[in-house]
Amino acid sequence: MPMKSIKAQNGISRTLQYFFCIVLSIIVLFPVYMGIIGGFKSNGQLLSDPVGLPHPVYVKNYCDILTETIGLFWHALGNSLLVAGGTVGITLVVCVMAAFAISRIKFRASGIFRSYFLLGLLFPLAVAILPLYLQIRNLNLLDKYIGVILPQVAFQIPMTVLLLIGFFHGIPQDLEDACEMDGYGPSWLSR
Amino acid sequence: MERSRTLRRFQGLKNFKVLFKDVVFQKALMHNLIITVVSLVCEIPLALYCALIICNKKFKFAVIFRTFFFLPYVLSEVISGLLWQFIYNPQYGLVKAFYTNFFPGAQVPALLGNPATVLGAILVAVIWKYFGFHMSILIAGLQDIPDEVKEAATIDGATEHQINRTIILPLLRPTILISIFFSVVGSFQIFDIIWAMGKGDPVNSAETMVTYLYKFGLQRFNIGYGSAVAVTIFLLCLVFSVFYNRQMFKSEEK
Repeated sequence: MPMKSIKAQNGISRTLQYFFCIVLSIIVLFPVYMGIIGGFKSNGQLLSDPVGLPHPVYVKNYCDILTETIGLFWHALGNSLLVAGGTVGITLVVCVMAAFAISRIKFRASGIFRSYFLLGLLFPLAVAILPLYLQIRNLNLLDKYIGVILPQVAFQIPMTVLLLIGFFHGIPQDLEDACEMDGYGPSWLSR
Repeated sequence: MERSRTLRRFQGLKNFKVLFKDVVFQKALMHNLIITVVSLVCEIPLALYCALIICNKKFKFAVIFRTFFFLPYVLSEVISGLLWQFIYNPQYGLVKAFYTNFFPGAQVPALLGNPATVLGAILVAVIWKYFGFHMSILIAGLQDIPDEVKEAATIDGATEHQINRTIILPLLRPTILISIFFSVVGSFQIFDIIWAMGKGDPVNSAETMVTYLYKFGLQRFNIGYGSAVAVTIFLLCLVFSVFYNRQMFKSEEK
């Protein structure tokens, strides 16, 4: 096959590809666009013209949310931040220690522990809903922040530990040896 | 406190017997299978096609399109469920706009309120949400394939289509297998988006196993029965992953 016709063929398929991508982008972005536009419309505007641009722009929705006329936006945001912060904090502390132990300290069961964390990845969240609920109830943690944070942490642990193990393996052992020579323990190193 | 620690009135397999005879659960299982098949047939080929286009060096604006296609996955599941509910709303949704423009006078269908259409409507949203995720897995796999292979084929006079079909796809096989694994396990556990788009109703026609678990276990406070559902889901996932992994390793050894 001569070179030119291949190029022409590639050119045609390239145009088709651009066309495909643009059409798909429009389809993909449309729901997002609807959501954004819908936020700036009153109910009446939505009924008469759901798709078009808002005219006039209706900002009362946003005012209501930000001034807490409807709902408790700032309170909810605070809750989210608190839960997120608590989850990240506890997860990091626990997982760094676990991953360090598994990847750096030589002990017999380290392989088993590693597989144990891997098993956690296979466990579907949906299955845990009920036993989790019972457990939280028995621990009297219902309706408390910590009752949300702890399960979140538990489900983050497998992924985080496995990621961190990989990361710790990436740090050369020599570095640790050098630190030990200078009289620093593992705790200094992990800092 | 005491009641939950001791096992009284042991039920044996009674819960499981009731469960497997329940028509609603059979329906839910069926819906899970439909979702699995549709995501395998529609989602992954779509994701693969997009990944192949985007990974081509000569394709401009690849980063922009990649961001666009990945955007739905970043949105939280509840938010995307609500967005689609908004679109399907017969009073002020996109569907209404479509009908008033193209079929004026015709009655606007309530896609999420009709048992015959609700699952299809949800499936569109599911594909919309998750194809970007599979696309990024596949892109990561494509980036591991060395450019030399493609260049050699180009010099030998192969078209892009030929290169994709005969060289890239076989090399990408392990990544596609992982993608399929995520897709199947994800379909078995799908919950949030269906719950946000009408709680599996009307008349259980979009019920999945997890919404069933939530309704019959938590909302009706039938904890033992719910646990039986949970164990069933877990076993299904476990059997699938063990079987699938074994097959994967077997074919890789060949």
